[in-house]
Amino acid sequence: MSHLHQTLSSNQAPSTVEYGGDEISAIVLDPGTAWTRAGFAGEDTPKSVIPSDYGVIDAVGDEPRKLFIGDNDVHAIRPGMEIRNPMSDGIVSDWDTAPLLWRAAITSRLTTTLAEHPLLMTEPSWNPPKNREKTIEIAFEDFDVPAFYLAKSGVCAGFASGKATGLVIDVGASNISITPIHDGLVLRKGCTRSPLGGSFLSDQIRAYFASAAIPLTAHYQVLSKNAVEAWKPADAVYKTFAPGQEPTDSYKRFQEERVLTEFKEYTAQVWTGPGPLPPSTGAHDAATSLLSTTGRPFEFPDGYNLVFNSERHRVAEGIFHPPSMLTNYAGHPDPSSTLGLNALIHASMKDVDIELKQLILNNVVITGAGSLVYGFTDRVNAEIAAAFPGPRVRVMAAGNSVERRYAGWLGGSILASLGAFHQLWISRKEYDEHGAGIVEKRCK
Amino acid sequence: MSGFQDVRDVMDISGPSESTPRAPPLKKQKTVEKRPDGITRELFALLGENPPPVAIVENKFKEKPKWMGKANPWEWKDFTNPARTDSLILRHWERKSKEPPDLEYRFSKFDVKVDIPTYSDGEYEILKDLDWSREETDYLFDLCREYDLRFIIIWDRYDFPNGKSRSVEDLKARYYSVCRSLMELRTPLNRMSPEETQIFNMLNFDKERETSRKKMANVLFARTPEQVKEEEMLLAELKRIVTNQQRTLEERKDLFNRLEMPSSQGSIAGYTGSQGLAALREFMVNSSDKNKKRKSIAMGANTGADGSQPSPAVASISEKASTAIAASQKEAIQPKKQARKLSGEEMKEYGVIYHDKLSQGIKFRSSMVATNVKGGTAQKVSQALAQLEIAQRLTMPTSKTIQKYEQLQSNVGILLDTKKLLEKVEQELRVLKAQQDAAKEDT
Ligand SMILES: Nc1ncnc2c1ncn2[C@@H]1O[C@H](COP(=O)(O)OP(=O)(O)O)[C@@H](O)[C@H]1O
Repeated sequence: MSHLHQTLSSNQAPSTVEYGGDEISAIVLDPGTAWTRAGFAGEDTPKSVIPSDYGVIDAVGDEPRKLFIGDNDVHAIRPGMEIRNPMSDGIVSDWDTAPLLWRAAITSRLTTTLAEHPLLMTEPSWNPPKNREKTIEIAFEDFDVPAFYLAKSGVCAGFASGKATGLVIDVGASNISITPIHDGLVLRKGCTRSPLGGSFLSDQIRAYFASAAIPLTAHYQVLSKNAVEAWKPADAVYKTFAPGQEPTDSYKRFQEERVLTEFKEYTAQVWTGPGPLPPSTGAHDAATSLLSTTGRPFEFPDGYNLVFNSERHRVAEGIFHPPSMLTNYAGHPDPSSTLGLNALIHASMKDVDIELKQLILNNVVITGAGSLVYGFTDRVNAEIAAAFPGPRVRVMAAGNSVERRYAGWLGGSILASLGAFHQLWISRKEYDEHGAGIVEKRCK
Repeated sequence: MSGFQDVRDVMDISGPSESTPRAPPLKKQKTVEKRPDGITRELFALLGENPPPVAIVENKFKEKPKWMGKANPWEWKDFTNPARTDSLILRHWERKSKEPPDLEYRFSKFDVKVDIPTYSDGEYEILKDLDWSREETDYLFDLCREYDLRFIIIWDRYDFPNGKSRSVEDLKARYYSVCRSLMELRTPLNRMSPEETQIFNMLNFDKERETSRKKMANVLFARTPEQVKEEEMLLAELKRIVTNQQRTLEERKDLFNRLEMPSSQGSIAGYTGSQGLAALREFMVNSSDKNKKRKSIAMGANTGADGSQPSPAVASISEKASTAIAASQKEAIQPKKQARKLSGEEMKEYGVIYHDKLSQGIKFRSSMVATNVKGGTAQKVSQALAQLEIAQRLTMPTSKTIQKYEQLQSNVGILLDTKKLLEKVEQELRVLKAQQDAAKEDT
């Protein structure tokens, strides 16, 4: 019965000062390369998560260009529909479409009256001033919000783990970014990033499949399948398309990406380290025995299935040790000049004041869906401990995959529902008075 | 039933209310037996006083809380925040109340600013620094204001056009020196209140020290794994030494206890006879002597010596001691008279011996063998001597034999020390060799 006493009676207002919250029904929008996440501030998960990839059928003659946004639309098979993404390198590059995606993410599930809700958006630490001004312009001119704020996603992810000072390692689709934060502010000199994010890992897996002649099929291509034994060819009926009705290459790739993400989730694994994965030595793979791990199976959508041994480590090794990356495809990052995760952390810590180094290394936060690969956090832990043997290192990563995926959004949600935060919003009036340049002054 | 009414109350919808007024919540009869549901009475009775061994899951919803009276309505309300300069109106849910709402937004109290001084053009004349332009100083102070004196952030954001590169310490030094000069300018030192003086002194930023401290911190931070390992090893070694030291100290204390004299105060008459002396000796050997071995050796020496007859040496010592006491007592009264130093021959001739240190009380010469060797070696020396069948206590402790004995002791000590050192060096050599071999194998 004691729990009843803890419940507030309906006459009693909860003391907001206790937890510092004051919800003003703000909307939080976290636009990533893989997903665009939106929800109400004060909630613990975003209500609306849509793929940042969208389908488009370009204008032909009188027909205007058609957009297909959101999980329901973008996965449908449509001849001629290209899949595109408005982001590159983690920041907006297509300003015509990005706002449409944002609007869709909000209006599809949250509210249709944007003008009634203050909007907090997240941005990566390397977002250039031009982009920031463009963002605030869209918020006030297009969405007509009453108030706006642009928060650094690194700081937000830190808040989500309850840290105002620390080192945030965010593994997104397009990048791995490292952001040292202190007192809720980004230490700009220590911000580093590399293109070795989730998409890179997908490319590595794809390249490995190609080199090992493992056929990659997507779900939409398979009509029906029968179970087959491991290593045996698939026994499946594939979908056929009439000429001119085939989906586009970008659609195929987009669908294959989903399979690759499954592979990342279930089969790929990061070598424990510290130090690079020992090289493979042909048929009798020394590394295999060294890893002494059992293989892990993976089944493709058409039923073809096999067991992966040391290969599942090898595909992920490039993230930490770029010289080990597979290079049998076009557009791979330069293995010699790209910084691996260790070097990235090192570069980040280099310019951090010595007073803070200890504290920051004691609060390493790993976030982003790309960090969900098996063994990722353990390897980061081992690498940091080896690189900085003196100080005490503590690496934190939410065990809950939802929290790991949405840490940036969650931090924004916490921020925008704090009573003390409401003095920081840029109001419509201030925007009208000072113009878009105000974002540089206020969102530091 | 009433749930619906609650929702209406919260939303403040005054519709047609339920026809019957809500019945007051029923007073439940308190049952004596608090038997949980999913268990039969017979089984429950078997448990007796003991609580059930496993949690019994009640397949039941939580009881509906008994609210008192009507739910209070909430209101979606506009509010302004005095911490803002622009009277932005935001809205939040507020408890509807008859009383006038608080005028002050309750979170505006968190809006605190650090006080950063400002200076006039005239004042700046005094604050001039060759290394800093007025513009850059202004820029620094603006940043201090903007980032509330968090110098690490200020340094991180510091980007003065065409400016020198500055360290955190440079910025701090400039800021604090300006503050200090300003303070002194406005209130001369001799007119400052004690608090002001304290603040004034606190503003004294020692850049050199701070820089070198950071340098050292950096060195400490940049230790290699080997260095960290070595440090750990050294720390373990230190711990070992400290504990050993404790042991040595205890041993020494024990030794001192052993040498403790019966008080020289009072009559020595009891010790004058041969019987008395023997008793005294017995007493000294036994007093606080926990070491059985030593005791037996001492006893052996006793039986070896002509036990019944007090040796002349002993007698002479006791005589000497008493004269020494007399001398020291005299010393206390009158300034020391320089005694004529006897030559070597004279000393031999008269049988006079000078002692370096003589403490009060009676002593046997045999027990005055100086321990030139200390600590662990002393024990080893006595062991070695025992092995060589040399008695621990001299049968005839004349000053000459004692001298020889002391020499022998210290020589044995030196030899033993050397032996130990040799062993240690050899051991180290072996370890290093093994490490070298291991390293060779590794590569
Ligand atoms: N369980 C998982 N294991 C490994 N990688 C995953 C997992 N789930 C998603 N990913 C990858 O994470 C990336 C998306 O990460 P996310 O943090 O959502 O990126 P962004 O912030 O750029 O939108 C994609 O490349 C996706 O393939």
